[in-house]
Amino acid sequence: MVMKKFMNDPENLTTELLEGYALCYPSKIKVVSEKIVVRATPKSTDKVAIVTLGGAGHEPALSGFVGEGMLDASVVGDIFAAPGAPKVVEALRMFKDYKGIILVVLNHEGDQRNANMALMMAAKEGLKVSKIVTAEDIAPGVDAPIEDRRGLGGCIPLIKILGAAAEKGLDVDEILAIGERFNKRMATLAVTLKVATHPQAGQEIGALADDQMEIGMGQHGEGGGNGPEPMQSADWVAETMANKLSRALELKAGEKVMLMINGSGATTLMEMLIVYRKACQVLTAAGIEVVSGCCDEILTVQEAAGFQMIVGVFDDETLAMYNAPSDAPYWVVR
Amino acid sequence: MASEFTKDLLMKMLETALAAVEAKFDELNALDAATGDGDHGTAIVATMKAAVESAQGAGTLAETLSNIAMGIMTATGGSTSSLNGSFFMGMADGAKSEALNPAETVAAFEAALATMQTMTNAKVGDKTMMDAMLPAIDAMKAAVAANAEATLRDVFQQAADAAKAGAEKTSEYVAKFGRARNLGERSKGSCDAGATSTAIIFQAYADAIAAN
Repeated sequence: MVMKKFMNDPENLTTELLEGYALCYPSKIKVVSEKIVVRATPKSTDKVAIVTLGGAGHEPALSGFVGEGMLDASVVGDIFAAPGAPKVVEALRMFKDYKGIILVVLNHEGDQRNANMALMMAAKEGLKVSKIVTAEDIAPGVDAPIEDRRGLGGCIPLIKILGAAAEKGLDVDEILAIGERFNKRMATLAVTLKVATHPQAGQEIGALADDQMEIGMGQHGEGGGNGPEPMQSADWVAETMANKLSRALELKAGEKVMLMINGSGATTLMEMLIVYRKACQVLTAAGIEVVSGCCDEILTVQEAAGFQMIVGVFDDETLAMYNAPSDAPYWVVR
Repeated sequence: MASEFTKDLLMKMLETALAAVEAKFDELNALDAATGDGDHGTAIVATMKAAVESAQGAGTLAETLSNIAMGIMTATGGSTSSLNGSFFMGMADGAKSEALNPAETVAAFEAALATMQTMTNAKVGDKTMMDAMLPAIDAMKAAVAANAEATLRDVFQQAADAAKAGAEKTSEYVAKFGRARNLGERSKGSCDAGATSTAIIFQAYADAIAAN
């Protein structure tokens, strides 16, 4: 077991990273009850609260997006593991006097199951919570059953839109309608060159030979595409993935989209920009208007090499929400 | 040898199960790494540790089982948290007195499974913990149905044997749930970590009953 990471006791990874996060951005966020990240200054109760849950080890996701204009709370589990239901209920309870509560859930078995248990427990307490699920991975095919379609990095732009709509004071149904409109026309495809090491167990997650890549591998090393294939050029990978996303979303000339290259952890910004270049050219050549671009790490998988390509189609309202101000530590829009 | 399922026996069963999964910690992590993210050993040890710790306080058998459910879900996360929590939540509903005879014990375990099944649709052949759990509970039911004199030891040894046989078959299956699902045919060839730990736990329960 050879693992070269800056860490102390593996048991304390999550608590230590959250402590560091709170110390780094004390004016924006704080950590309460060990594993719940909330805004330093809560928004007013006449607005709807946006809450999410998920495992750690994917920083800055998801807690990096707690802040004005985005999330109100992020309930953190352990490395790659969703938090248990009682902790989620504890977070939901903090917003019982708000105009409403929306829980954003990525489609992974643990996240979904613990969210459902939490919603059941919350309902017993008389807490009304609405759920929105992201399942935008197109690797298993667009017609695949929901169980096969994972929630990948596309949850972050969705959270941006939900957060902005909540900030405007809209009610739960209005926010969900806007969110679901974007959710339905947003898709992600991932590619991996080198798998990550589980920082607690010390083992590699998944397997890929040195001369191979896998389009469709998920954010925990799960397969899902056509399996490993020989390495290709940046242009080939970018064009292949952009075309798959374009087909999945049935993009039409004149549509306005966001294009995001989300690095998995070990992929350089140099590579991301080179990939972005080709993907943007492919979409533009098809008459699609790329109105918002991003090359960054928003949802990582430790030292995995690869990226997720995320495309989302805007209408006037979702575009306005996407561009609205945000002060979350890892997504600042002024 | 224990003849009734009581709070004291429950404690011994949980302690024996904790020691058993601790002994297989690395093996379970390695099994999970083949198709998942390599943390099942970590998760199941944390689960059984939480179960033992939350079983300590005062209260009836049913209250203790409820505390175990909440303790497990508080201390653990991931895909097993609500599953294992729901199991003890259901068992709490099924534990109607402080000392259950073998048939009543089987009924409590059936109630545990029923609540767990509100959290998952997994069936035998889907390469999950249910590949060990479903045959184990079936074997418990069969043991008391076939023999009115069946002892707790008979019931749990037959459950353990059925769980072990079920877990061993998972290497032939393609995963249908969880992260391993997305591997398709590539998930064949190794046993499911959750089914394996479920079999280990049922054997530990049988051992604890035989020894106490």
